[in-house]
Amino acid sequence: MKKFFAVAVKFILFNAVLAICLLGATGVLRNKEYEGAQDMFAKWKPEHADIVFIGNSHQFCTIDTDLLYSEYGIESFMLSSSAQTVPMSYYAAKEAIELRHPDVICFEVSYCANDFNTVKGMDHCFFDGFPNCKAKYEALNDLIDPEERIYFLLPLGIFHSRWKELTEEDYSGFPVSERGTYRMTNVYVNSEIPVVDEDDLYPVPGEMERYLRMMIDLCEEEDVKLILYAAPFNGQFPGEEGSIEDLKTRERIFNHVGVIAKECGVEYHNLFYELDELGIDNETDWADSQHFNCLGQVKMTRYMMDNGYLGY
Amino acid sequence: MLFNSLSFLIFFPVCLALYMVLPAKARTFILLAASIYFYMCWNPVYVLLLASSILVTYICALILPKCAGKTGSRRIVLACGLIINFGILFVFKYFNFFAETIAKVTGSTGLHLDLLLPVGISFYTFQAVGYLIDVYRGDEPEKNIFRYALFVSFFPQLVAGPIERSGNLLKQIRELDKRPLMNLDDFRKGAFIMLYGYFMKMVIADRAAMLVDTVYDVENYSQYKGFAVLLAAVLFSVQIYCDFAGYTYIAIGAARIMGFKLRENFNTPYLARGIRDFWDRWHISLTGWFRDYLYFPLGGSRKGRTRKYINILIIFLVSGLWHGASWHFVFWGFLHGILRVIEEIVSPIWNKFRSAASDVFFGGKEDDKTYGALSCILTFFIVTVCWMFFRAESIRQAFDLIVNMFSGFGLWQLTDGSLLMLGLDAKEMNVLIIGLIIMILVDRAKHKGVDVPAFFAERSEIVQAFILLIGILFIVIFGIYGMEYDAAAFIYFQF
Repeated sequence: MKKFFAVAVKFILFNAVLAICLLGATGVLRNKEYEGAQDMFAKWKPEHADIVFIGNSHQFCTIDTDLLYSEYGIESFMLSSSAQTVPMSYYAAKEAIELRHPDVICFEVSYCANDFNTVKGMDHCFFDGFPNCKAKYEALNDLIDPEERIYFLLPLGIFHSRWKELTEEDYSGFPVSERGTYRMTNVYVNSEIPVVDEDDLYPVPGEMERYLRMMIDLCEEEDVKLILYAAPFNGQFPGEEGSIEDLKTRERIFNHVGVIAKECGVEYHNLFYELDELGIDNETDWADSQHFNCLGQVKMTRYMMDNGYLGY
Repeated sequence: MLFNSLSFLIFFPVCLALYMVLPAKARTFILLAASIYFYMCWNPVYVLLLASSILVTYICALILPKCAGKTGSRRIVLACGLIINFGILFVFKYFNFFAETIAKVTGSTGLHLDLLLPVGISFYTFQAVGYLIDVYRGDEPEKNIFRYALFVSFFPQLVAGPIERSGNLLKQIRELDKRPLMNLDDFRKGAFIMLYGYFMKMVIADRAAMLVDTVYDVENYSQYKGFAVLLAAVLFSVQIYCDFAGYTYIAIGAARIMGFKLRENFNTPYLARGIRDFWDRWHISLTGWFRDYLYFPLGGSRKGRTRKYINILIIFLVSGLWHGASWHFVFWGFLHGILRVIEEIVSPIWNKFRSAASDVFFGGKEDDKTYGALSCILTFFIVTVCWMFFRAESIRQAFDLIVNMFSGFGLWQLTDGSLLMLGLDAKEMNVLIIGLIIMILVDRAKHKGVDVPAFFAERSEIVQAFILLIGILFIVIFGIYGMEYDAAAFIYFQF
């Protein structure tokens, strides 16, 4: 019997060391470029957040949470990742409430104009950094095909082949601040953004509207103030030809989001109609046709805070 | 359920835990249930074919001893068993091939059966038939149907061998109840053998396949010439060895962990010094099956030289057909048969010449190492060219590729980076080279008589744990698998 226990202990020990090694390998190999600050949220020190920002890359390129703290004393976190769809953002809101119960959730609505649940391959940007909590498993069950879920629980199956492209950042971590702010430093000369009439509407795609309304209901139930806003942008996705018509359709959808917000009594700011007031310089403040660089980010953050668009 | 799938990595530990925890008397049933489940994971309906094969051979084997002294009856019983088993194999594997061939020859429309090839049918049919012939020749039949069913369906070797004999596996199954809970030595050796099998399959075979698939692509193969084709041909030799031997090692390792010792199926085949030597080392269990159950009954080498050569040709033609219902497999078998016959004819003359030349040039002290190395290289090259017929989609494609290989040689191919644009970039190629070096070292050690798993299992526990950890991490990081990758089936499953 003694021998059996000795063997059992060695077996458990071996598997424990193996698990640690595999976790370490996962940490190094997973694609940090996409993850933003998701995994930092659970480790974030403050127990309560004044504001949690939710959305996709448009969100994390628009708001500087560190600036909100240093200039306004607002304790906030950027819980956004690249290509984070509206359903994902709904679960991110659940996670934010579950872990920090913020006073305000600020949701950037640009993905309301995308008629799909997930961007294939990009769903890892959201899930791989998502801390282990109830909301994560609900999101997995809801949004990911059953046969693919295993790769979200064991992401090494996806990222093991990244050994070919490891850089220094893979070992040192992705350069986001402790409040999840990511700053783009390159400069892109953007063109004028065409704007449609404010009454010009196009319906929000069905699934996106359903999850948007679920988020509104969730915040109401949990007594969290929800603020919606549309950050301005121009052009199409990188690598694709720009299409003015496509952008205009999206703007019409953002106008329809305003109708839904009004109907539900939720605060909404469509910044496409405040382009002049924003003070954005197309020569210096963009990182690409859709995202602000750190200069634009500072201007946008100050503008929204100074105008009371963030609930404070 | 592939050995390199997540489901097997869950299935096997669960099966092992049940095997160890439940009473010894239940072991046969646990393993039988696990084997049936394992097979049903591919196609639940086809378990009926497996069951038919088991039942028919079991019943025939029980009847045979009762017909002692009645040669005619015994032959009829044996023939019934063989006809039903080979009949099932024929319908599911060969019917369409023969029907299409006849249709082509006669110019008729032909008949086509819309049937999926049952996984591993050639392996378990041959194992069951081998058992029946052994009983016909005087072996004791197994009376316990569960034990016999486990012998035919034992999951580690069910779908791609080694093709077991009753004298080995069935004997171990009979002693299953008396075996101790676990033999740590077997467990360790089994773990190392499995690990090496995974390494061969996931790091080497599936990586080599990336380049091989590019060059052999039916639509584009004609654009590849010289070194590109040569590299693909050599890498296919590597791929098929690492794929099949990898599977076998995982099977042998998994069985060893549970205390079973399966037969060796490979013995450093690419260190062979001739075609006969190659076949003594490659797929040993199949070669042995053909030798014992076909070559000897045909008369072997007892009925004169010409008959011997014909028998050799028959064996290799059947072997080719066993590998696949297609003419390029048959041609591959035929090529090996011809080469074996040539070897038989030339060997005595060559040995005399070699001995005379040794006396003249080396004073009778021939450098055996150099001769051995040259023989190995020549054999590898011949086998590699033959493999081209095996891998190609048709005989025509294989001939085209061979012509391309010899017609478009240019040294610039070695320096212009074009070889790194065939599906394996420089980094992938480096990993493949490291994998090949490890494989060659292991084969070399085995060739010299070193029991490699035992060598590792005899180290201190810390060293063993360290090697296992490094091995697992290496495979997890550098193995070819994952969501975007279709967990590649083992090549020999199709047979």
